[in-house]
Amino acid sequence: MTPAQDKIKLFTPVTLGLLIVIIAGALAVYKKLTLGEITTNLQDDFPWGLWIGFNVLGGVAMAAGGFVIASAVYLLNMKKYKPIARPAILTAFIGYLLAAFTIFLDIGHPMRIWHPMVMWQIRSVMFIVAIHVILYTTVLGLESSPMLLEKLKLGGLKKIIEKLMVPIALFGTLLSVLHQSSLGAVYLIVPDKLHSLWYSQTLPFSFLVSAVMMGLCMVSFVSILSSKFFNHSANMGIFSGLARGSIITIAFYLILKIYLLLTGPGAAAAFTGSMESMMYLLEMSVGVVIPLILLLLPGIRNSIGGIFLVDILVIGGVVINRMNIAVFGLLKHAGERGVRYFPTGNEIMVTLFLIAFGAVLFKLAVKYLNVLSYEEA
Amino acid sequence: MESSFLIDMTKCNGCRGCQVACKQWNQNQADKTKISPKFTNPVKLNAKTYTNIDFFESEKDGHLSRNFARNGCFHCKKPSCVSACPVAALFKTKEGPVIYRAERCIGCRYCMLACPFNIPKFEWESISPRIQKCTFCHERILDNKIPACAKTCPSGTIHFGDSIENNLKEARRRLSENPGRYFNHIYGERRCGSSRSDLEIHLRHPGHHRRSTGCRHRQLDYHAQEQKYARGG
Ligand code: SF4
Ligand code: SF4
Repeated sequence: MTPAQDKIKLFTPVTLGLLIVIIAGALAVYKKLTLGEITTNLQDDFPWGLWIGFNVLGGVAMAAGGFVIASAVYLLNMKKYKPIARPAILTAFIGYLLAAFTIFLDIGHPMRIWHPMVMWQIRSVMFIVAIHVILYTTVLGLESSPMLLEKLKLGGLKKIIEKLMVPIALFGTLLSVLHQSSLGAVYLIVPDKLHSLWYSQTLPFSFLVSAVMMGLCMVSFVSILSSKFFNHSANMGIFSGLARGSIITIAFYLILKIYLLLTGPGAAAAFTGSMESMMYLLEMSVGVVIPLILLLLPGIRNSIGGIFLVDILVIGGVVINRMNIAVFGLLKHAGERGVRYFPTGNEIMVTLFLIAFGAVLFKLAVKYLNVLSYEEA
Repeated sequence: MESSFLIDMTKCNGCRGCQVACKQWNQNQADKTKISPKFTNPVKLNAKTYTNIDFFESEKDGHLSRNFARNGCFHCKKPSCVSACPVAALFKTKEGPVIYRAERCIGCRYCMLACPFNIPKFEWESISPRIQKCTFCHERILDNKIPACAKTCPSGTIHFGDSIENNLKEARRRLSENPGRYFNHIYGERRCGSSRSDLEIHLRHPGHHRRSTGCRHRQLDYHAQEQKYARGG
């Protein structure tokens, strides 16, 4: 263990708080598994809610940093980003594990989660999504395994995997690009139900672009956060590099969204004052417009604090976007059929549980594995 | 498919015999319901109710007239629910009905989201939940029997036994001969977001158009009112 890792305290007030959430959340998980869907507020005219929107769509988008950094380092040989490859891949791995766990919990028959692997229905987007979750989680497991293997003193195996890293990363990038877009494709089948501010034939593409945007910010976010918490020195060059990547993606996404707005429901639809238009404006201002303006100011772009703020905004904005598509954009249709949806306490608790669980998992990994001190190793 | 439905709702008298016959054949439990202003009962389809008759009122020559529409699976030619299902639990039989194999289903509920008519329903209370929807009495069809609802219908609303092409022809004939009697649309012939039906042609009452907005679901604001009432609003 490096001295920096020794200094990481296992029980800080924050961690204790997270542990309390985890214990309470475990009860909520137990309740869902024993009592079934009745513990949620999902209903016939509103079959998907908070879990799909926040944990699955949000969690997977968050994980996009993994494939972006992995392909930068292993495929494009951008050595500069090697120090953040491990935190990026680990974040992605945790994100996918949480998303997969949420799917396990959300479906009516958790014990049949393996069915898509043997009962193929290749025309189903959901089938594609399921297969991608399984394959890409495996790839991320492989990509993060060297961290664990070196701890377990399995140098030989680690060498083999590191040799294979380029093909693994290539496969992972391919899967990831397909998976991010297929999550958007899930909603192509609901043109009548999803509000026109979000529905478009290009949903798969906008999912991919926004995921890359969020992924970059997530990597930068966890790296800054851990360097603060774990007394690890931050390398400004890396962060301004990530910020430059963010500027390009955010600007591209902004143009795409404006184009979709103008060719779709028209600009006026965003300003009608309805709940949907407010959510749309919130998503666009928090996640796209404000971060872009901030990043264009050199004072912000060149300070860790400024970049950190932008990261939070973009992550929040993309999560709002996913929630808008999975929940808010469908509420109007459900309302027309007399249905309202607000998650139950149990649903909210499970979501908090997963966030806390992910954070603690990351912290443990940083303390016991060589996640952040990779550059020195 | 030789045998399909031609459902002419202007012949319906609202007896709900089809609802009862459907429950009996499928051995579905009764719903606990309470009277609603429009008398539709149960107000919506659910896992125990595969079909229901929508009651609604319209004005005809200055008089109040009570009219009906029927809800249920259309057994689409290219069903969204089938293309959504990741494990082919829902599938289209060669006879036409879209049916469900419970033992494959993982309960992801994508079919519910995908169906443009919100037809597949879920057993929310169950710990081993199934998707439930009309099967067009597939097992009766295989047995050369008439679907339970058609067998029961006393008013000749549900006509069964002709090919879909013949039914379409007949529907067009009725529409052109009696334009005032019907809402000018053949339900199930073509529909946005979903393909035409393989098995069901519906003709509706003219008063129906108040509640149908283009290609959106046919019950829209009507259900909102009913639900508001059901909630005590
Ligand atoms: S009406 Fe809905 S449930 Fe029935 S076949 Fe069509 S898509 Fe499937
Ligand atoms: S809930 Fe069952 S039937 Fe419906 S899409 Fe999922 S696996 Fe298929």
